[in-house]
Amino acid sequence: MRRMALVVLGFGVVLVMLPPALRAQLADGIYQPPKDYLLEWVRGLALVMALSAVALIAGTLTAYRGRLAGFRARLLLFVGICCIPLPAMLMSAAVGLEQSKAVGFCNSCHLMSAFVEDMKDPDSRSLSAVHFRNRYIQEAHCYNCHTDYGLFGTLEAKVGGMSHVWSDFVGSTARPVRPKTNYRFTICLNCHGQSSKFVQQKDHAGVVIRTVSGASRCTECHSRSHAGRTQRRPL
Amino acid sequence: MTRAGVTHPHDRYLRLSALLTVFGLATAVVFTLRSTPYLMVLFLGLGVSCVVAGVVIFAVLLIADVRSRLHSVVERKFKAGDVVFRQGDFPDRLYLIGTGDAEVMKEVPGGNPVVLARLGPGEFFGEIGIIGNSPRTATVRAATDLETLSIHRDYFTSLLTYLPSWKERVFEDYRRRAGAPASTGGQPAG
Repeated sequence: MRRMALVVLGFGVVLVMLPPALRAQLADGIYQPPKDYLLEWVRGLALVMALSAVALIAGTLTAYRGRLAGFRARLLLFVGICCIPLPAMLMSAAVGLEQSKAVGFCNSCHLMSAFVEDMKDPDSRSLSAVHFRNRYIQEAHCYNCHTDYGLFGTLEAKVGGMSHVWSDFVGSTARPVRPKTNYRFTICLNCHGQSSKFVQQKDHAGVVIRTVSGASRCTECHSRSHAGRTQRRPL
Repeated sequence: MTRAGVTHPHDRYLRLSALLTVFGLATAVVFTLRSTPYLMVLFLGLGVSCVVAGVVIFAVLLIADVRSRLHSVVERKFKAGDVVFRQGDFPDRLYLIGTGDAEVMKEVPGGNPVVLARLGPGEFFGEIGIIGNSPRTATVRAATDLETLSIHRDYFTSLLTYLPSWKERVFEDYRRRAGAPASTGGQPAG
């Protein structure tokens, strides 16, 4: 029992240390610390907990074969089935949702790749490309413009996105992909609304009220948010 | 507590609960290492459901087990014709007859059950499976309205240590019933 705990602990330590070590190797020996330490720790902890639970369950199933209803086996299974997995699943969900903010996540779906290509195109004049080129948004470019702020903003965006994935999986998504609802241009105001450049522009007088009420859209005056269907690589 | 020889009916459900949890955790590991839309659907849809199902199954079994242990010694009544337990069942309890009669029957494949014995007040049945750690060797049915004192298998063994005279009698009956072949008038009673 004690030996098993030591093995699990050692395995966990290796697992936590492995990603930074690999990253250092890949970066030509120059160690680049992760940007989000908390995320890295939670990821490591989630992995260690999940794998420990799997090891504990597998060990119990093997050691107490045919005697699982006994007190000791039940106690071990209680830890392996109830105590460890629930926090591990919560942490995995948190890490996964955080990772899903990255452009790479959106780009991993082939339906989105044309939009991402346009965003990264140095010659494109679409709003997304301009924002990307000038680093107006530091990271999570898709997420920042397609997610409402607030308590349920991320959740709403993910649920909407997941419904797209499901539709694609069952083969019912119409091509090209269209947003579930009309784009809410109030999202643009989250960054631009308070900037002095925006406020001092006399053409913007009354724009905030009209945008919030839905009477006005930013793209009426500015270029398109993404390249038009004809300019994008066909899906 | 179970030993080699007979498997507790909870065993297979505990295994199912464990396997569901392992599958859910596997999706969590994959999703933590690599986040893609399809893996997110797999994790949030299937993985979480499996872990929740595993926990629910485990909790239900745990509650059933705790309840059974809390009712370690209970009075149980059966109407005439009721089956107390069947041949092949898990030996979970021993029964002491208070009033009424019980019939011990051997199931015969493809034929009618053979009545081996009729037990009355003061007698007990269900000890063979517990002491021998084997499935029930016979079916017991209430011949008349039956009142019994039912003892959980775990507490039965504890009880024997406090009642040495009863222990002797139980083991004597066990040896007689389990050892004697059914055709010679032995009385296998579970």
